[in-house]
Amino acid sequence: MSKIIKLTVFLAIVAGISGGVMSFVYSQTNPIIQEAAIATVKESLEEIYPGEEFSEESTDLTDYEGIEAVYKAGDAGYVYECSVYGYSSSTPITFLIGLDNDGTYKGYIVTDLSGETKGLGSQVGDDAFVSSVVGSDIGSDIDTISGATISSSAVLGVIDNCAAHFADNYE
Amino acid sequence: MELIGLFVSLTFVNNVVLSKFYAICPLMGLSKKPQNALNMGLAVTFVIFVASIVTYFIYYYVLVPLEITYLDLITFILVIASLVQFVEMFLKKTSPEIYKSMGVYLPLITTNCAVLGVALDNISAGYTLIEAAVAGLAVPIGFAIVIYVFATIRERLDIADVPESFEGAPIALITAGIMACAIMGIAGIV
Amino acid sequence: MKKFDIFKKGIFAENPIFVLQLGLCSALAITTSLTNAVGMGIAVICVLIMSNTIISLLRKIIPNEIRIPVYIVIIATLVKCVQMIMNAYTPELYDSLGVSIPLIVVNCIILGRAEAFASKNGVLDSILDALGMGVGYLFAVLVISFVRQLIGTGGISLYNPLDATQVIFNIELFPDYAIGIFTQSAGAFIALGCILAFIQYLKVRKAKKASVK
Repeated sequence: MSKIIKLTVFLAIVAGISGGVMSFVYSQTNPIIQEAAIATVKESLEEIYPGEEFSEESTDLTDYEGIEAVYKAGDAGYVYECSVYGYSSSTPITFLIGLDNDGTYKGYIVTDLSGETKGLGSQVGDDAFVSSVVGSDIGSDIDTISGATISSSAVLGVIDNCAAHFADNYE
Repeated sequence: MELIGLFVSLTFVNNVVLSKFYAICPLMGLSKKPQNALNMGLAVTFVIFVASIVTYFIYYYVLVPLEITYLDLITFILVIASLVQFVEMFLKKTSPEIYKSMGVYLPLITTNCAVLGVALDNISAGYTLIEAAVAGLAVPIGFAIVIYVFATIRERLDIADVPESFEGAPIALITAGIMACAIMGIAGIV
Repeated sequence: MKKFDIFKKGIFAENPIFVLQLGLCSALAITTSLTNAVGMGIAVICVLIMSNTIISLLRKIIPNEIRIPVYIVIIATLVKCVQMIMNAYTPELYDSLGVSIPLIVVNCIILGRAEAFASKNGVLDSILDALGMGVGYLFAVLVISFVRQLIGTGGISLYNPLDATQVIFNIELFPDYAIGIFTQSAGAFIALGCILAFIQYLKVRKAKKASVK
């Protein structure tokens, strides 16, 4: 019996030291990795929440289709980086949407529309659609764009997933 | 429907052995007798299936909430090592002949790239629990099919007239390459 | 065994990929370009040296019954640290090597040398063994990458793995006649098969010459 205890204790000590070493290396490298991840979207993040400090959230996104990453914007709210196939089945629409802690959509910026038809699907990036999203309550029904139903309902579907994730995690 | 597509894709089109090069060691080492290949396939299927589910829970219910995702590698490999140990003890008790015929390749399932590879791939692809479970079945079944077919071919290769420099590993690898070409042919299905 | 022999054997006589045939998974997966081969080779050498050193230092106090799990924990820790450091400081190499980096944990070479050598020999010898095996691995993946990249893309290029923007050389020889399949999975098997056949041919010839004498 005491042999097994000795072996277990030894293994536990080794595991403990390993955990400590990894934790140290993590604390040194993670800030750099975060910086790099945020750098690519930093400009857009700052458009939505100027002046805030951003950090990427570690969260379970498996049940929320279309969400690529979630960024915390200081104490003000969260920005969701999303990617969804609209009309094109090879190039997704990528966009960022800010969900404010006061319960409204703070900002909406489309970063890649190249797969959509100009004048039709590309309307998901037009001012009219943007203003229908920004300022609305999180989770409220937003109208799809007639003539661009596939693209706009794809985008709105993912926005609803963001609202659901926000409600499940941050409210 | 999507799940069936995922299953077919992982078993054939994106077969982990022939396209991602997982599990090459047992492929080369164990595949001389088709019966051994099947036993290995069964053992690996059990390990990968259970490992896919257990690692999913560990990652999303322990590591992510506690923000210690950097412990993923060590926890996954320890889970896998424990599963393999369990399979070893089970086989030793219930079927010593199978245990002996698999030899050193049984504990080597721990270092099989496919087991750790599938666990890591499930996380990086963002699979849900169901998708991870499907992957956990499809991948080892694909592996089992490949290793079994490979074993039957190698039986024939042993008695065929192979140039001396190619005997053994070289011709085996080239055979694997031709099998890989074959699955490239069905790449458009999923 | 003389010190230099310990180092030398890992490069040719007991080359981990060409002779011992360990770690083939990574050898096939990352050998699509010289840059990847160099990057991965350096990573493997670092992990090997560190793991052999630590295991050799601890060899007298690790209980024999749990030595394999202990080795695995040590190796997993080292690989995870290397992965995090690469993610932070060499992001392009990290992205292009992908899942092959964490799979170094199950690379039979590392565990194999720990079990076969470091657990039974002193620290200096273990470091030499690790260096030899690591250099042998690097040499092997360079050869395989050279063949695959040359035939598969018709050219040869090397970028600094630590800084992807720095081009060391980029030579295009026959891009129109490249056999594309060599950059894909089937070609990897065929390339390695032919390289091993060539090595076996050299061995057979050497044996024939020796027996004629």
